[in-house]
Amino acid sequence: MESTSLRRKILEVKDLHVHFYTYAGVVKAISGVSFEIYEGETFCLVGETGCGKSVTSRAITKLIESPGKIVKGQVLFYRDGSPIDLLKLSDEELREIRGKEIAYIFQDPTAALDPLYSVGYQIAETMVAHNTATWKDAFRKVVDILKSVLIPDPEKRAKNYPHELSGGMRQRVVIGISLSNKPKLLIADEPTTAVDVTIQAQLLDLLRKLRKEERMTLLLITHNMGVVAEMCDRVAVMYAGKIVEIGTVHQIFKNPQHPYTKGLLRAVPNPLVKIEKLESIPGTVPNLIFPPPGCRFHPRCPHRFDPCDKKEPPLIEVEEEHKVACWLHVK
Amino acid sequence: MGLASEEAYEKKILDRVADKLVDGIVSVINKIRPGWREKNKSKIDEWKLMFYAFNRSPPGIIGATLIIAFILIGVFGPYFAPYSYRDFLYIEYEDTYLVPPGTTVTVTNKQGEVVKEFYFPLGTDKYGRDLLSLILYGARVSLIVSLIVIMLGVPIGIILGLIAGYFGGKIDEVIMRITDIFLAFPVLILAIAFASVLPDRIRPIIVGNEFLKQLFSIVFAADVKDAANFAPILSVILAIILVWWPGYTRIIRGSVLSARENLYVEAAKALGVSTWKILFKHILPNIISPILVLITLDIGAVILMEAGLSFLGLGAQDPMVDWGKIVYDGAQYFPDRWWLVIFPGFATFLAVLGWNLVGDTLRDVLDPRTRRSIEFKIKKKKEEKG
Amino acid sequence: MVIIMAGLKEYLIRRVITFIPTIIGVTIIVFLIANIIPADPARAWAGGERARPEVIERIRKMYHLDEPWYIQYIFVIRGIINYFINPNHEGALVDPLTSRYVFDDIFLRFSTTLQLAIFAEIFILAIGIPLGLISALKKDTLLDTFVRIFALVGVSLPIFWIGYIFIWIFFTNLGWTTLAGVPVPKCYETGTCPITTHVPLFDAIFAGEFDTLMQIIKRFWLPGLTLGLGAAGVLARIVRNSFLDALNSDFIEFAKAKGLPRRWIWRHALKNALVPIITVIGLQFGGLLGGAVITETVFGLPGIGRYAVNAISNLDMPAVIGSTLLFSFLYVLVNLVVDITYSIIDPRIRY
Repeated sequence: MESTSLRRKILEVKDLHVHFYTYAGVVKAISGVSFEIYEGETFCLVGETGCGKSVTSRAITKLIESPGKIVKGQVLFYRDGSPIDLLKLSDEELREIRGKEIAYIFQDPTAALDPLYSVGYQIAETMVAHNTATWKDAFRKVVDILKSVLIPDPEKRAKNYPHELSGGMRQRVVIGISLSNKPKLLIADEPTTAVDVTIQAQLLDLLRKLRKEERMTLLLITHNMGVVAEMCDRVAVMYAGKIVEIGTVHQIFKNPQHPYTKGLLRAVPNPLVKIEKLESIPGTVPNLIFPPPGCRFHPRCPHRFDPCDKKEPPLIEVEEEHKVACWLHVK
Repeated sequence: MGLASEEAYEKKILDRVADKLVDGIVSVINKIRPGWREKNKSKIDEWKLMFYAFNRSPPGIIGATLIIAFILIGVFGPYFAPYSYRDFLYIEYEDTYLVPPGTTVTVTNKQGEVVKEFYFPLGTDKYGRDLLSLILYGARVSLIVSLIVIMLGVPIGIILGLIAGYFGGKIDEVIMRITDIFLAFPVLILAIAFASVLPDRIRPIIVGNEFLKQLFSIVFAADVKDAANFAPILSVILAIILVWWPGYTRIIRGSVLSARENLYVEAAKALGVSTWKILFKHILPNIISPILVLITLDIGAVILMEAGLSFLGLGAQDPMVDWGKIVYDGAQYFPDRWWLVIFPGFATFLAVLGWNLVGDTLRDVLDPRTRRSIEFKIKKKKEEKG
Repeated sequence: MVIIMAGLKEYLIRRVITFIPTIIGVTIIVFLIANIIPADPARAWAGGERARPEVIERIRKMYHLDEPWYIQYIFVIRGIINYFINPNHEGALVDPLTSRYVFDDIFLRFSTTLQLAIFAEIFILAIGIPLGLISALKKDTLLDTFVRIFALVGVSLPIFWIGYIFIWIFFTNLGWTTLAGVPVPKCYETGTCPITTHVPLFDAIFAGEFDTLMQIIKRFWLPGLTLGLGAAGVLARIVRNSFLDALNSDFIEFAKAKGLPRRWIWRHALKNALVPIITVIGLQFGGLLGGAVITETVFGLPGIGRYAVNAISNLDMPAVIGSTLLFSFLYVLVNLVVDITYSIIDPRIRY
C-alpha cells in the first residue's frame, strides 16, 4: 500500500447532516459524518441496518428525495486534482456526473431494472444519456459490456427482458450499466445481499477484477464483515448516523478500539481472530428523532462512564490512519 | 396510550362529537357483551382517529352533510311536504298548470274575494302538483331503493365471492362463469331488461295481498290505491340487485384468493375452526376495507341508475313520483318549463355527490398512514399551544 | 418481432376460445328469460289488439313459436348465421316488426352509437389524460384537489340533468349543435363512396366531404361531451395514481442514479403506468358502446341502446337476441384488444 503522501484523494465528505422530515418528527439520519476516500482503493462503510450508510451513499450525489433533506456539509469530489463541492452543484451538473464519473449499484437488481425495456436498451441508454456513444454504437458496445461482466451468449441476452434473467445475471447487468461510462468512483450499496452465497462470491470477484482493470475507486457499503475482510482496504464503522471508527482493514479487524466495533466483530465469525463464542450486542438501535444525549452508543455500551451520556466524543487518531470516537480513548 | 383518555390532543368540535358518538356505541356494545370495551381499547382509538381524519377533510364534511340531509329528507320529507303527490290541483284550478317557481296562484270567488292561495316555491307539473312536494316524496323512493339494493345485493355478491374464492375448483368455475355472463352485458341494458320483464309477473302477487299493499304504502309514503306500483318499483330493485352482485363477487373472490394463502388461515384450519368461522371472522375482516369504500361509492351509483331507469319510463308509474320520473314527464316541456328538469336533476346530483365525496374521503381515512399523521398533527398543535 | 408475434398468436387463440362458451351461454340465458314472459309475443308483433287471427297464425308458424324453446333457439341462431354467410342475406333472420333483416337494423343503429362513443372517447382522452398527468406532477397542490373534485362531480352528474342544461346552453342559446337526425355523407345516395364502412364519420372523411363532416361533428360533439365528462374525471384520477405509483418505483431511483435526463425518466414511468391506464380506457370504451341509452334518449340519437330497450318493451325477441349477440361480441372484442395491448407493452404478460 502506498504511503499517505503519495495517494490522492478522490472524495472527501465533510460534516454531512441529513434529516428526514416525517409526520412523526425529524429523523436525524446522519449527523456529522466525515471521511476521505483515496484513488484506487476499496473503501467500506459498515454498520447495522438503519445506521445511515445507505443515506450517506445517496447523499454524496444529492440523490436524497423529500422528505429527506441535506441540511449541512460538503462533499468534495476531486476531479483532476481540484475539488468541487457536489452539494453546491446545480441539478443538471449533478446529473452529468451521476452515471458517468460517479456510478451506483444498488442492493436489489430486480428493483433497479425497468421490466418493460430490454437489458441491452437499459445499458445503451446510460451511454447515450451521457453522450459517450450514439445509439448505434451503444448497442454494439452493449455486447462487449455484457462480455466483460461474464454473461454468456451476450448477443442474445442483450435483447432479453429483466424477468428473463436470473438474479445473479441481473446484478451483473446492473454492474455493466454502472461501468459503461467508465466511472472514477463506483458506489456499491449492499450489492451482494440480495443474491445467493455462490453468486455473491462471483460478483465480488467480478468487482475486484473490474476495479483493477479500470483503475476505479470503490465505495462498498455492507453489513457483512466477511465481505469487508475480503474486499476492503479501509473501513469506516457507522452507528446511529455517526462514524464511530475508521481505519485500515487490518487495524479494524486486529485492533478494534470502539466498543461497538468490538461487539460487531464478536457477533460474526472473524477470519483474522479466533473467537470462542458468538455474542450479540444487547439493546436496540436508538430512535433517531430523539437520539440519546452524548455518545449515541452509550445505552448499549458495557464500558460507559461519566462523560458518555453528556457530550459526544470527537473522532481522535489512536494510531496512524486509525481514528475512534470514544471517551475511553481521549486523554 | 389511548387517545380517548388523553386531553393532550387538540380536538375540534366535530372531533368531540365523534368521540361522544363512538363512546355511545361502545357503551351499547359493552352492555350486550360485558368486557368488550376493555378488550378492544386500541380498536376504539383507531375508530376515533378515523373520525378525526374524516373531520379534517372539507369535501368529506360537505359530503356527510349532504348524505344526512338526503336521509332526513328521505325519511321525513313526505310528512313535511306542503302538498300530497296526489293533489292534482289542475283538475280544479286550471291556473296551476305548469307554473314557474315562486308563483302564488290565488283563487277568487264570484265576489272577487280571495278564497284560496297556493304557493309553489319550485313550480308545478302538468297535473298542477307542487314540485317541491314531489321532490320530497321522490326522495323516499330513491332512498329506499338504493338502501335495499345495497343491503341485499352486496351481501349476496360478497358471499358468492367468498365461496368461489375459498373453495375453488368446480364451485369457483361455476360461479365465475355465471358472473362472467352477467358482466358481459352492458349494465344498463340488463337492468332495463329485467325491469321491463318483471313487473307483469310480480303485479298479480301484490294486488291480491293486503299485507303487501299496506307495507308498500307505509314504506313509500304512498296511498294504498297506488299499490300496483309496488310491482314496477320492486322490479327495479330486483333488476339493479341482479346487475350489481357480479361486481362484488369478482372483487371479493380476488381478495379471498390472496388472503387464503396467509398463514393465519392455515393456522385456523389446523385448530379445527369451522369453515364459516374462518370465512367470516378471519378472512372477511381483513379484506373489508376497500369494499366499504366501494359500497359508499356504489350507493351513489345506484341512486343514479334508479333515477336513470325512471327517466326511461321504468320504475314508479303515475301517479307515484320519483326524481327520474319527474324529469321523464317534464322533459317534453324543456326548456320552457325548465324547472321540471332542473330541480329534480339537481336533487339527484346532490344526493349522488354526497355519497361520492364521503366514499372518496373514506378511502383516505382508511389508510393507516393518514390516521397516524393526523394523530401527530393534533398532538403537535396541543404542544405548541402549551 | 417475429418471435414475439408467434407467442402472441397462441395466447390470443387461447383467449378467444375461453370466450366462446360465455357468448353461447349468454344467448341461451337471454332466450330462456324471454320465454318467461307470459305475454304472447305473436299478438304484439301482429299489431296488438286489432291483430287479425290469420296474421297471428302466420307469425307463429314463421318463428316456430308453438314449438319447444330449443327449436326456436336454433331457428334464431341459424337466421343470424345466414345473414353473415349468405351473400344476399338469404334466409337471414327478419324482424317481425320492421320486416327488415335484424342485423341490418342493428348495424345501422350501431354506427350511430359507435360515432357517439368515438366522440365521447375523444373528450375522455383529451380531458382525462392531461388533467391526470398535471395533477400527478403537481401532487397535493390546489390543482390536484381541483382535479379530484372535478372527477367526483363529473361522476355524480345525472345525464338527464346536465344533458338538458348543455342543450339549453349550446342549442337553445348558442346554436352550436343540432338535435335532429343523423347526418350521412351524400355519397351514400349517389353510391360514389371510395370506401364504405357504413359509419358516416369514417366514410365522410374518406370521401373528403368536409361539410358533411362538420354536420356530423355538430351533431355529436355535445352528446359526446356529456357522456364523456364523468368518465374523463375517473380516467384523470387513474392516470394520476398510476403515474405516481410508477414514479415511486425502485427502478426510477436507479434511473436517476444513472444520470438520465428528466424527460427520459418520465418516459420510463409513463410506460409502466400504461397498463392500468389502458385497462380503464378499454373498459370505459366498451361501456360506452353499450350503456349510452340515457344519452341517446336525451339527445334523440337512434343508437343501439335505444334499439335494444325498444326491442325489449316490444317483446321483439329476434331483435333482443341479435342485440345480445352484438353486446357480448363487443365485450369479447374489447377484452381481446386490451389483452393484445398489454402483451405489446408488458413483455412479462406473454405466456
